[in-house]
Amino acid sequence: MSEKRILEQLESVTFKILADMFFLFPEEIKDINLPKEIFEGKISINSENKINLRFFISQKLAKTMAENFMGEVVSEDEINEVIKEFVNMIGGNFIARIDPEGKKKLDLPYVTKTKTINLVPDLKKYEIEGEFFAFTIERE
Amino acid sequence: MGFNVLIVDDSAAIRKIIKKTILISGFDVENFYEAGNGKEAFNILKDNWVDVVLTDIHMPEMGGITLLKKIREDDVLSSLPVIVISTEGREQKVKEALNLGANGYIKKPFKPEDIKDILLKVMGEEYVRKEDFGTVGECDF
Repeated sequence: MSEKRILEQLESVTFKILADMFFLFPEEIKDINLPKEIFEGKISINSENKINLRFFISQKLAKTMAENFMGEVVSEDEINEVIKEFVNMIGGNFIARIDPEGKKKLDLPYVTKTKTINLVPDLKKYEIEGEFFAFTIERE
Repeated sequence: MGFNVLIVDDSAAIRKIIKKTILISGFDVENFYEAGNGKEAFNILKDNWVDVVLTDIHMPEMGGITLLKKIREDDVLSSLPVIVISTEGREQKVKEALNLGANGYIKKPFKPEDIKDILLKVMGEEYVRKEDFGTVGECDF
């Protein structure tokens, strides 16, 4: 599968999960002020060549996502868990598209806060309800 | 009397969502038990009566597939209904879980109806089985 096709698959899965589970709809953007601190959710797909799916979500958007998902006011821990589950759902659905035979292995997701998003190359950037959202595929 | 349900997921938020969904679906629950991984779940099963287990696959310490194997190998727990709820939608992974004795498989993201349908299917059969025993008893005596 070509790099472009893989990216399209990731975008399609991400958009579907954002719409179905979080009732949110991203719009692609070229330029936006990068938030100073941001949630990063990451999940890796292991095979001969490891792929990392990395997602960057502004703190306000992460809170909105968690509230939409849980249907109630959320704690900081719940925001972390919901973002982790968001990344997990994307990983699971994405791997089903690119590896239907089940040869690749999905790692556990993790969430952290980062201040170095400006150093991440090839970001696909979006705006969701005025907030920053981005993802990239990283190969190791 | 309702059913005792064990929810196994490393995310407390997801356990909360599954619990809510089950309650909204109208499924009759007596008690909810929760575990953050397969090991915790197995300990709960050893000490408590549970009617149905809903488990994730990818969890730290002990995942859902190992839990399923342990349940099926256990003399007392082997017939316990287990429903797998996972982001793993690959056919091979679904087949693996079903071949190991999972009674149902729900792919995340799920809709409330998915959980309701699978619970009715799995626990409905259990209910019918009990009813059949009752009918046989009435006929015999």
